[in-house]
Amino acid sequence: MSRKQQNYLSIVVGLLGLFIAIGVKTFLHPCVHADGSEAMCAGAGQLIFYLGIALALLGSGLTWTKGVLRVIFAIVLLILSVLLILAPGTLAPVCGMAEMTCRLVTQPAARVTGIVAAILSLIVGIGAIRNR
Amino acid sequence: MKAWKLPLRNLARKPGRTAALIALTAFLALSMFAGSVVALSLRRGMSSLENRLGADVIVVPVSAKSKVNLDEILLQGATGYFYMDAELLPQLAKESGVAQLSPQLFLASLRASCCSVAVQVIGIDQDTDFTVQPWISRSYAQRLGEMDVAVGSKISADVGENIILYETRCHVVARLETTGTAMDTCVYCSMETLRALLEAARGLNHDLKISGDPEEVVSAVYLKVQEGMDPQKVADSINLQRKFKKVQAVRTKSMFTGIADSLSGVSRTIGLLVVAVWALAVVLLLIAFLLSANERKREFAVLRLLGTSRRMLAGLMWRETALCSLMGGVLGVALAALILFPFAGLIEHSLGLPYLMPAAPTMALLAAASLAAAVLVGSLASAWATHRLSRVDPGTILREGN
Repeated sequence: MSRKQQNYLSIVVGLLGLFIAIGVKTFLHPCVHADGSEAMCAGAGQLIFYLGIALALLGSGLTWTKGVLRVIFAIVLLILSVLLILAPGTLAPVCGMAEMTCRLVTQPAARVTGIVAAILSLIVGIGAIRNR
Repeated sequence: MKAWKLPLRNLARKPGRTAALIALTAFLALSMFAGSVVALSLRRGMSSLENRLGADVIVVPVSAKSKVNLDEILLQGATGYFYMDAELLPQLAKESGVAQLSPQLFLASLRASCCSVAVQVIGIDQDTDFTVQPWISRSYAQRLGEMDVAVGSKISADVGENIILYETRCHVVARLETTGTAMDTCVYCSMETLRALLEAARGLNHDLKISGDPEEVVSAVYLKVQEGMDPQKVADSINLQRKFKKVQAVRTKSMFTGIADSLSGVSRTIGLLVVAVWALAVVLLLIAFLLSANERKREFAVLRLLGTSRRMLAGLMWRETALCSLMGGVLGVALAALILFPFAGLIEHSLGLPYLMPAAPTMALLAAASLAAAVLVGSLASAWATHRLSRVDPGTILREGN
């Protein structure tokens, strides 16, 4: 895989991070109580946001790297993606009822984004190791 | 292995064309897999609901219509309560055509500090119940004791934990199997436990609008009619009698009519969409393979002049197509799985219909069928293109270029 192709994929990972970070603050937001107070899943929402921002920064940052640094960036991207999969429900609690917004929307969206980002990061990582 | 080397190289040499073919077959597999899983899940949800209700006729107070409908509680997950006099039970038992009957008592917990979850609580008479008990017994073989509850699969409480309902601690003894219906969001307990919860709710000044003694009320009576009797006739007979003027008998099948109509409508729409997508994709695949074959006329002519038989040429084309279709099929099924499984709750919530996803072996079978169909359609499309091309004389093709 050429460096250019790796760059494209890492940009996609960055965009996925940006998508989930913006999403969790807008249309994929976790639950809010009727009185406006934060629900149990608020922590998961914050964690997803920060992981999304980190993915966005590192995903775009990888395009300027080469050699060992590129491999390290790809591995960090992979770890962040796995953390994104685990964030809602495993690393941070989500609301108990299966009908709650965080269980219906936020958790699956974070997991799907994490899975796709992890696969792409893995491809970039393998490509970077081969080209090193 | 050698036979696949040339097709693989050909595909790698034209990444744009390969990507387009993979995308097309992925779209085919995705639409077939997703469409069939959603349609099957809806059908399973409906049959699960029919099995779970188990009763032919349900008797509820007339006021239930003006408060919360029974079908809203059982089918749409709404919470509510309504009560009628328990004295009706022996009278209903004497009605001709009634084989079996069992009462249930409803209570809705609140999204407030008194309750850990806002859910529908249903009290069952364990001596007579024939609707919920068989379902509970699959997860918990014993009788529900005092303050024991069995929770639906969507309730966030595990066996051994306690849930607080109207400041009363209830012990979770069973988590029930998923039904794909609103019943998954209910909590089930014995009549005695529910009456204790009713008292607790009244103690907290929660107005349940019970006129008499809470010990003497029920919310609904489930009837099973005798073999050979028409449930509609039994329901009509109850509705026409003066002594039952405060209640109404509803045939459970009529509760399903609306939902069955929506279900068939959704299934039909999904079916039509899948057929339309397939028709479009097949035409696009045919055009794509035809254009690709035309573009490669000279390449095939050279291969023919070098001694490649028509059969070998067709085999080469087929391998290229099979590889593309297989990759596209796997991609399409994976994408569909990535949407269907994590977002199953959202799909169910958006459809507002009972939705029970098939078991893993059925899913695997559907995925394999979608994959096979994508490969088959791709192969047929390329076979037609190859057949057209192999009819042309290689010499003529090469002369055309000069």
